[in-house]
Amino acid sequence: MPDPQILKLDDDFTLVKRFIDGEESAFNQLVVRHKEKVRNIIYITINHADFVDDIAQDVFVKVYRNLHHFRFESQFSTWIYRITINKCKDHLRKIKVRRMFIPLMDSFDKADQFKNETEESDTSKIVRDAISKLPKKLKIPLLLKDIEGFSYQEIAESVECEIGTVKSRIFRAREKLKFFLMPYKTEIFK
Amino acid sequence: MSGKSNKDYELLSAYLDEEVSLEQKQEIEKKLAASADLRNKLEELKQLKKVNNSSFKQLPESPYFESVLNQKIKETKKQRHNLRIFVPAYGLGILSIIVILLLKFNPSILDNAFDNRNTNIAGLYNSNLKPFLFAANLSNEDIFNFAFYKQLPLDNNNKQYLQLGMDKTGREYFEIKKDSFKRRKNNLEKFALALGLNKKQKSEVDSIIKVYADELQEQILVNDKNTLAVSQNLFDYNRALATDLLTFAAKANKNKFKKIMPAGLTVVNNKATSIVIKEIRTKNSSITPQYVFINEDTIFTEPYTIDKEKIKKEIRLFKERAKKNVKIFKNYSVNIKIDSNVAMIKTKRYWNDGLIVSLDSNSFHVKLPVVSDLKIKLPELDSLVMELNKARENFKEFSYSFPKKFPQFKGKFKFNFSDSAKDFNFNFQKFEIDSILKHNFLLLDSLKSKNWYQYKFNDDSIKKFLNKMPKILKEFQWKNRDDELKILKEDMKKLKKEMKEMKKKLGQPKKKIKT
Repeated sequence: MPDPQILKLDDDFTLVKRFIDGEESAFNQLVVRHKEKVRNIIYITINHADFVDDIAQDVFVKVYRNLHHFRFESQFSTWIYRITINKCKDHLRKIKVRRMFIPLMDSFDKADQFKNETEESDTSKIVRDAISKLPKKLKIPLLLKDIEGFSYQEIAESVECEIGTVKSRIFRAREKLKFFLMPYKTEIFK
Repeated sequence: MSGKSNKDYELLSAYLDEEVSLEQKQEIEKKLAASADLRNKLEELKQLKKVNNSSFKQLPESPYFESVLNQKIKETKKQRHNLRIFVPAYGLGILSIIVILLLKFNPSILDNAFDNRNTNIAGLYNSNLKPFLFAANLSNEDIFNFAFYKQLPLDNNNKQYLQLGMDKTGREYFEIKKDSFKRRKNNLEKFALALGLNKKQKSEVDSIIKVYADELQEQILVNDKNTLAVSQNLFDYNRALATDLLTFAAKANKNKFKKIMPAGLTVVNNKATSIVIKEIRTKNSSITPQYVFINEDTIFTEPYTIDKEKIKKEIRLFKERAKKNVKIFKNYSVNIKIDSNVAMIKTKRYWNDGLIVSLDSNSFHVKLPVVSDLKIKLPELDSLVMELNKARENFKEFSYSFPKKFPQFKGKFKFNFSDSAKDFNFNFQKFEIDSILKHNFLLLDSLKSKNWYQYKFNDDSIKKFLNKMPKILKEFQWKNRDDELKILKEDMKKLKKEMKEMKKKLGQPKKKIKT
């Protein structure tokens, strides 16, 4: 994973102001500063590398459209991560709906494929699959904390809930994850 | 988890994430030192976190991310631009649907909106209205002239007056004019003289006039916002007053009345006369009168109820102060600002609330809508109006009576003056200023009054006036009588001087001429 860039609040605000004043290149700088973090959040949330860039680009298009309405009340990064997480949720919702309409044979194929994949001995894959089984509201705070290293405060702002709720959800996510990984205990926790 | 609650483990999870306060940290560490279970749990959570952290591989870089993003942004801009083109059409469509739905479910909404607007405008202008004719300090002569000449002075300095009238289509109008005519004088006196009224009868005429004078005060109102309100009932009062005076005249002296009103006048014999007078006055007290509000900004009609008690109080106060020579009412003049609205009126005429407004530098002319929804139908009003107009014409001629022995001129230009009793022919040898002056001097001698006019029209009025005139008059050069007299005097002085010089020369001894 690339090292997270050190972003300063003031720099983001300056770039946003410059963009609002008509300097289009300021937006490109914002993209460069935040794209990796956005892509990573998407990747860990949807657990699929194929769609990451599409969703990330959607996120930045939305940011581009709405940047004139940015109110400078929260950090720019918090704002963009909130948009990212919402886009991920939309994507997961779409996938869920699409699965309901997949023809029977296809779903068998997918199931087989899934089975084959899970039978692989790659422990990372096992953990990722176990995480993907977590409900969204538990999975996202857990990933933002354990993978992206967000503080509880940042997670609370990104997923729009209280810090206490974040604390509780992360603990519950860990408990459930432990349960899912129980069959692979010996392989994973060596 | 035996012996330990979820709350403890939750706090342990937060402790692992370094998201606990200092106090909580100390407390947990205390518990950890004392409990092997807790230590095991912490270890378990640590392992889980580690596994999570290492489960995701590094995401490969996306070299074309920015270029693809820029392309997407460009497409979005295009789409938004295309949508924006249709925004007015969408807006109009939505607006039309809203209007259709509104009108379907509430058809009276537009009327109500207009009514509200009118009420709001009216509310702005019609507050604190006071009787205006205070300013004119109307005399009995003024009220009498109002009856027969339909003129009311609007101020005490003879600067403006109100003229009522009726056009050929029967539409009533009023005009606010500059007083370019000298105010008519002595008509009431002449009226009394012609009828040979005794003192008692004269006081009866005065009392009739007084009753109407009080009621006239309510017909023209003004406020400190420079709004002039003219009641449409003014026309009815005018008719009623003229009819009342003529009826009185006929009863007072039948024979003499026939001499001054000999045109087969039936107005006083009309059975409806007394009913009409009564009805007009009842109508005016029972129906909220419609006023025409004139302001520098706008002109509109609106029903307006006057506070009769308040007005009576004002009149009383005014009279009391007038006795003490305290001036409580500053002079008002109707000033219409020449802005874009008025420019429009000047060129096109202006329609508002059924009013037709036109103005030039001499007058402000307002034609009123024909009131069709009168609740009280006045009996025989049309025939009465016709007869009253005839009577008025005769009365005008009576008050301008020309000398019976007027010298005859022979010439091309004729002026026929017809009276039902006698015809007068005025033949002018040539239409020159000398003959007009001569004619006026003769009139002055015979009438011992000053009933001619001095025409002082401004450019715009004189143009209209001249356009309607016969060709001979159009070509005539109008001159001011006073100026002509001045020139004449100067000429006379010159002549006198020349005569003196001539006399001097004649008085000198003759020089001998050598031959």
